[in-house]
Amino acid sequence: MADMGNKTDAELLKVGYLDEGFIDSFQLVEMIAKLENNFSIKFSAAELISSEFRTLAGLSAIIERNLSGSKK
Amino acid sequence: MKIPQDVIAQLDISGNWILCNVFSRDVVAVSAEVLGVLSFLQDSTAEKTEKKFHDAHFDIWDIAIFPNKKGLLADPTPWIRDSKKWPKVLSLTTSALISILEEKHIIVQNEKEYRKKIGRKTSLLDTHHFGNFHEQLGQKLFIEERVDPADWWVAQKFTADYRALNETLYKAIQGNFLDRFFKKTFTKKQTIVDLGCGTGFYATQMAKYAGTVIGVDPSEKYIRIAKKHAPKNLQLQVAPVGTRGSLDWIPAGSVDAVFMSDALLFYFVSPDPRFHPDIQMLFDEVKRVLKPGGRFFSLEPHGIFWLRPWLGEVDRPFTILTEYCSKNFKVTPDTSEIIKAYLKAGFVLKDMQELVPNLSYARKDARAYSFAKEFPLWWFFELGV
Repeated sequence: MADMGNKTDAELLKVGYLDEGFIDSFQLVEMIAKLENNFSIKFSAAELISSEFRTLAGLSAIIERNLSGSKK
Repeated sequence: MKIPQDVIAQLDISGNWILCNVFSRDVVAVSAEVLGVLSFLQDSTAEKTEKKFHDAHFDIWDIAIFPNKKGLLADPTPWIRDSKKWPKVLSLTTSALISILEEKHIIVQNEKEYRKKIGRKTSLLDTHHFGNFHEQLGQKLFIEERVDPADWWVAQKFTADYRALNETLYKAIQGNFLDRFFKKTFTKKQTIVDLGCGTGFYATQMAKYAGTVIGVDPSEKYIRIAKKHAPKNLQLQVAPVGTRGSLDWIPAGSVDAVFMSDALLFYFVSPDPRFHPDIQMLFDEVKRVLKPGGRFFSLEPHGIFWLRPWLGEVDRPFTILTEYCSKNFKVTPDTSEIIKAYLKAGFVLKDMQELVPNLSYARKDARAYSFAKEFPLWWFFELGV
């Protein structure tokens, strides 16, 4: 796992949290369930497997689009 | 374009052809005319092929890769013998046909890039690698069905109240063997540990014959379920099995037998490729709690266990193996690996059995019976200290 201590907030948003090993598959299932529950949204299969989903910035953008009802 | 040598074709009784990439496990059925397109496409380009077959339409059936979604031990390849199970036919232009054949890895543009896909997935959402059996099925379940693979695993093995095995090969092989084994092996004077007891089904069975059973599992959720139906002589405990000191609360030399089932495989093929659990640390814990003369009973998916295609006639099954030593798709250790691990820990091998289904299952599902009888799904080791 890479050292994140010296990264700025903007850089952290671009980190691939999945590929860098910050979260395992069990935690990922939990995280997705919580996000969907908290925001009352449902990620599509295409969103889940997109490269966008793999960074915090991308994930945040997907959630925002779901909330505004305008899927990409 | 190229047809990788990993693609095999089988003639269906309907006169159509079933094409399967044995590594990606993609399957399509196509009309015989598509073979002509494939033949031309080989060593040609998509553009030239589209030009040659510009007015034609071709029939293709996009067959699901994992009928196992209904159960881990269910027939993984029913489509091979029953075209009624195929989805609706698609009648496609040459361009659309090439596109789907490429998506299903029946043809590839860049063989080097395609080869890189054979290997473990980096996460549940990774679509750039084919992944091993657990990863492929887990991804299908999660992305397509939106089911938690851990919940699905329990549901396909046990009845809704967790108190019985479903009527599958689990019951016909594992359940049948252990039922007889517990009865003839355990006595009311003995204390048994079920390590990785899950929802407590086998721990409860053992408690019928043993004096005390201690069920241990890292999952709080599973232990909570196990407590709902636990008899009085079954103690249940959440503990991080496999980490140093996780069984310190069990006194040394206090246990007659340790039982473990369907758990050691994860020490050889970790669910997370970045994490390598230490099997010798686990075995040190097992040996510490066992009395002198105690036994370690280990029942694990067999070294040839993975979801192979079920091919051939009912009474003469055959299959296709894509690997035995490698672990790209496979999720179990091979024979020498597991035996060496036991011996390195200092266990003495007392007995080994390859389990097959009981005959009565042949009446329920003749194909499953004959396949599991020819290619064992589990092996059982009795180990002394």
